[in-house]
Amino acid sequence: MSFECSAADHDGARVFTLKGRVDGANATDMERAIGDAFGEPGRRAVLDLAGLTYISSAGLRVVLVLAKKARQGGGRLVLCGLLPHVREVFEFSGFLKIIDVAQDRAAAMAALR
Amino acid sequence: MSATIGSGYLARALDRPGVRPHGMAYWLDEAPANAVTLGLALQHVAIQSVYFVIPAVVAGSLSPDPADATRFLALSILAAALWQALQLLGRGPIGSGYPIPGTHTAALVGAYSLVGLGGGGFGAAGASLALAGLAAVGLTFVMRRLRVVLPNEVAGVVVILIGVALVLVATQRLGLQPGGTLPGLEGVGAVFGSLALMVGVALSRTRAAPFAVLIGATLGVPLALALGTGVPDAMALVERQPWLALPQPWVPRFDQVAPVPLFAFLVALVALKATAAGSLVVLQRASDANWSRPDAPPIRRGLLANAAAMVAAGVIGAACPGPATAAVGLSIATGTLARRIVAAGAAMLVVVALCPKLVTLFVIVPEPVKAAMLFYVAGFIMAQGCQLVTVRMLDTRRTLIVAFGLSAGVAVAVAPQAFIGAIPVLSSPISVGAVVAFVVNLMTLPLVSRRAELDLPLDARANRSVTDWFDGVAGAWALKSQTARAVEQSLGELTDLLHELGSPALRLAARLAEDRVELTLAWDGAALPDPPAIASPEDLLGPDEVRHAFSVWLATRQAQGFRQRGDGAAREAWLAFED
Repeated sequence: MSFECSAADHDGARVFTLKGRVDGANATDMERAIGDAFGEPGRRAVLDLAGLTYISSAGLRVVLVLAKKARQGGGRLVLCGLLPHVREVFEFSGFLKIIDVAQDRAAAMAALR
Repeated sequence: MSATIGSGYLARALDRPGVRPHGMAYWLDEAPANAVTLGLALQHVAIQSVYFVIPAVVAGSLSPDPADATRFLALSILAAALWQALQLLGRGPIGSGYPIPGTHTAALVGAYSLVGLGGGGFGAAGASLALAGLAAVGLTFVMRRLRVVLPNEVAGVVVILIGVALVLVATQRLGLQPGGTLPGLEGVGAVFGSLALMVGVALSRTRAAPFAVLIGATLGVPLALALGTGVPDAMALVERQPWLALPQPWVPRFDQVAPVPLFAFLVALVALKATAAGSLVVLQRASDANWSRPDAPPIRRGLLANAAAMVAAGVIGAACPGPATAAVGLSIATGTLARRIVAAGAAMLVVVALCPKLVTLFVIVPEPVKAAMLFYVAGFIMAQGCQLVTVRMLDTRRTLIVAFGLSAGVAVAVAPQAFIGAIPVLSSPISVGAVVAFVVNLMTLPLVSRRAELDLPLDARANRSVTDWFDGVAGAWALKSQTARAVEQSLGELTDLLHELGSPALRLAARLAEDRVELTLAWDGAALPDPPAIASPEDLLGPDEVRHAFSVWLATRQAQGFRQRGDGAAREAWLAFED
């Protein structure tokens, strides 16, 4: 499965559902799909990664850029649903120290409230 | 990274940071209240004291004098305290940093018997142990891939045979071996009575259950005395001992070291290394919620501490120390892994060692009760060995390692006198079984090696192609899913990077060895940048060279080793992942 992304609004937050794999070949697709999540100040967003089976450093970079945009605009970004091996990549890379991660979508929404 | 791994063979900076497991009462650096610390430490000492029977029995094979036995036991308790303290060290190249109580190992019982049979005393035994300890120090640096030469099956055989050797010792103490005096009905009654008490307490489901051996032995002593099987003048022996005295070391007699016992000491290193490594891994696993595979540097430092304690024990003429696996199990079961507890326990052991009156109590335990303790402990050790043997699926090769190792060891145990008379060097079940299992393992190692290769163009689809390919390889080789994920992450990362650096194609070879997967990547073009020692997510937003270095860092993060070389434009990188 290649990369797929869908978006929906819930309780005033933008929820992006990512599926498949993100590598150097399609990281720009991911950036395009979620890049405007923090176009306005104070926006809140959830990245639901339950369907993400692989992420390379190119994908991590997109997530980092998004997190920085959120912080600069006074918004909030929460990741959720990470599969164990994907979570391990985020952990090894030091991302779990700088980005909020919730167990599942409900927990992520609760964290945004 | 290869340089980092090489120079950091024992470095604490490379230790994987652990995560506190859920439900842990006291984690490594947490400090229980003083009363709790003392209570838990006392519980450890109670369990450790069960193994005091081993030096007490060893002393009997070196000298018939109970005073010598008391002296040897006091020195041996000090050696166990030293073993424990060395493991706790938090700085320097020695010591795992893990709270592992120490005690006395049964792996050398046969070797000590050989020293006694050859007319050697405590000095000769100490010298042999010191030499074996020095060899163990050397092996810590030579045997880098311990799991290859000492896989679970070999370690399990050794542990089972430690139990078998203890049964052999127990039967010798009871006079059941040729040349011995058969015990009367009273002696047999004392053995079974003590064993029944131990089993009764163990199955009682009370707080006393973990102390079954100690309680059973304590109650077994009056039973044995009532049946008339006690040590003559036992109380007089205790009364003659002072309350407080420094144990007098035996000077190691290197001039009395004989080749046959020394060989038995050296062969037993297989068992000593295996049990020490096993305890270190078990503790590491229990203390880290995110544990996925052994973290090598603390284990190497723990093995070095184990070897250093052996040398020290040999120099003072004490019995060989080793991990108290039963006490480790208790710590894990109760979630009490605070280093402070084990530090307090080490201090308590020193106090016991300085009190000869207390130490003599362990020496005068009647032989039937000692035999019952040995039978009981041997059973549990053999059960642990069985678990170790069956950790991995037993294919034909692994079954052969276990079968040949056990058969050889049990053959010696069944007819020890034949081996002592004909081939003294092969008169220890542990030595023979360990050597046979060790050799069968090494001889059949090439049979497990497998290879797979892939040539692919480095285009936008390369990352996907390479991870899909390895997914198939991992399935065919029955790799652990964690290993497969780590390799796929690495290959995907490197493939993306080489594509970005403009390399046109990649030639990939994967090789499965006993305990790991080795990858060789070959390409024409630019070299991969060296990974930084420490990387930060911010590197991903930096210049290309910093981002590329982060990519290599991420690709090699879970690798056991990484190196690359180049000849002109032709490049090659090598990575290894533990399975």
